[in-house]
Amino acid sequence: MTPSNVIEVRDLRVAFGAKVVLKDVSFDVVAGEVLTILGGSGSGKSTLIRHVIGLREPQGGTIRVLGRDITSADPRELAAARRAFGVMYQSGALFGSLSVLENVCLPLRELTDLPESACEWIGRLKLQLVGLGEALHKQPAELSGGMKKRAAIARALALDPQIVFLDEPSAGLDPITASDIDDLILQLVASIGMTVVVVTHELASVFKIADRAVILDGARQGIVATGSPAELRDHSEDPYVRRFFRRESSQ
Amino acid sequence: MDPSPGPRPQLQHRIVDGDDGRRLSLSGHLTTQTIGGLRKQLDDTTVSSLRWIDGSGLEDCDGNGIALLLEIVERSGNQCQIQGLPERTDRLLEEFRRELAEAPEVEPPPPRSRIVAIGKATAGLFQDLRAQVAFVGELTIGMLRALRHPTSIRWTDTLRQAEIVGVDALPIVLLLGFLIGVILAYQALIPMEEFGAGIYVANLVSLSLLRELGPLMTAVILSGRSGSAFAAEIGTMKVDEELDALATFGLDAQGFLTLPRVMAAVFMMPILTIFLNLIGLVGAALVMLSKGFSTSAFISQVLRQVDYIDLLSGLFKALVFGLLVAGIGCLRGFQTGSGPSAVGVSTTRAVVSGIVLIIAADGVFAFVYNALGI
Ligand SMILES: Nc1ncnc2c1ncn2[C@@H]1O[C@H](COP(=O)(O)OP(=O)(O)O)[C@@H](O)[C@H]1O
Ligand SMILES: [Mg+2]
Repeated sequence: MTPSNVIEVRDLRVAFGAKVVLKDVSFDVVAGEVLTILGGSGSGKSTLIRHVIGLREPQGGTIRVLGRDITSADPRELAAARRAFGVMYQSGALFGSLSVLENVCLPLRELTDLPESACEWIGRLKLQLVGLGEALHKQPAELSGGMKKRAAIARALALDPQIVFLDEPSAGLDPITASDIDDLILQLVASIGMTVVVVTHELASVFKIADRAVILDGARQGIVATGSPAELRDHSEDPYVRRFFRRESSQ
Repeated sequence: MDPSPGPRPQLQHRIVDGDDGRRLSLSGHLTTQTIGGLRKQLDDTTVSSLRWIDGSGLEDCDGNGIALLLEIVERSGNQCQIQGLPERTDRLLEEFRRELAEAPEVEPPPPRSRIVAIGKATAGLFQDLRAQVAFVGELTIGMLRALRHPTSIRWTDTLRQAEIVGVDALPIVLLLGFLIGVILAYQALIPMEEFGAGIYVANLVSLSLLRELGPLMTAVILSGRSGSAFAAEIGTMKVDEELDALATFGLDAQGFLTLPRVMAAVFMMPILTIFLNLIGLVGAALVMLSKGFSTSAFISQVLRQVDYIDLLSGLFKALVFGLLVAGIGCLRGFQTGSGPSAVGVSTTRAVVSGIVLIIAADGVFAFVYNALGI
């Protein structure tokens, strides 16, 4: 394994019953890069992330995270590997019985030895960074869709994880907030060397933050192109990739 | 448990008093996993005397590390300056500083006073009673209307619900009924045999099953199995805004969700009760048989005791219990609030209110039947 690869996926195969969703999927994530996963709705982006973070066992292939094969890891190893992850689920998945601040503080409380007031200090800062400084004490049920997303991003970043997975963080956000979040991601990558895997449909955001992109096509059940966004836009011969960029950029 | 191999990263700190004031020198790794120890060792007096934080010895530093330094600065009354952090973190430090300066002061909502809570709970109780009465009334009207126009009934849904409420409940109804018959007969035999009146256990069991226990136990099963399920289903739909979606199509949630469920329960309750009664008698008969009473003696004793009125009065109760249990289940579903525990609360309330209603109604029945001489 090349030392700078934090994630290596090889020949991944995923099926729900008889329905194959992903096959022959191989890609790497390099330390400190921002990788975007692009693809149509239902092409398997969320499914791919769920497998990389070890929530579901694939039907074939290997997934190595930080040098550890998580497809054969026992639950303890898996839990340890996941400590390096921050995950923002597509639906937000905030804990509904906790306030927004408590949601962000939960991982700090449970997984570090920081005293309560320090957890809160960090939690407040993270929420302020995603523009939720006003909503600290709100319950998730009281938030709008975009606010939930931002709270979920703050929670994913709570522990300053080595690798952050964001599933459609900017869907449902206004362009200003979405751009602020892009800036935050870039800043964290530059200053603390965070690795980011992000699913997004916003081409503007892709070109702004992504070092590389992989494109999934639901019809072909896998990755149809990998490369830097500009490379893919300008040089890809694949009709799906061309349509993807042309259609989305003409919006 | 550390994900990265090798020894755990450490953070060392030293406090030095220099010409320009007290200095906190850090070396090693200033990261989420290491800052807890530092934070705990810095008490308020030390922090307030600090003038400098020196990070030039650090090998590594993450966002939470920087956040913690900023917390120390704030606790020192902003008397303290940070220097020597790795260059690439400069912008992050600035950004954090700016955001913290902009962060609004928000107070947590004050806890509600107990008196207000008691008042609200009392008012809620009466409101709830009204809601229950109104709902059962609406439901009865809705059902009568539906029966007048049978084509308006959603038969597919109703039959599917009838299967879930009735057919699927049959095993548990049979098991419970059998056990009740056995237990009742056993318990009754002990004193009755003392008087040589053992055969009258057949009268006792058959009468109490048909008139009381049959409908009651079936309704309790219905409440636990289906009342709770109705509340959970409809409650989840409410939480997921599915009810709003129905409403925006102009569809009536009562016709769509409540009536099929309630009608299924009302139709199935008497049938389930008959099954429970029958198997209960079988259980009792087996006990009697084991004590040397013949089956034919048991049967003739039962037939001498009970008549159609006993059976029908029990079945009518069952029907009403079905209406109440299914109705309250749906009502609790519609009343589901927001938040993660809301559906759980509704489910509990459906079962509790269901059982309370059954027993209250049973009391009313006892009174009315008595007055009517049934
Ligand atoms: N739990 C599941 N059971 C069956 N099929 C699923 C399940 N989860 C996802 N799928 C299917 O997998 C495909 C990819 O889904 P998903 O990864 O959510 O897509 P997206 O790219 O929009 O995130 C879809 O066709 C979906 O129907
Ligand atoms: Mg998805």
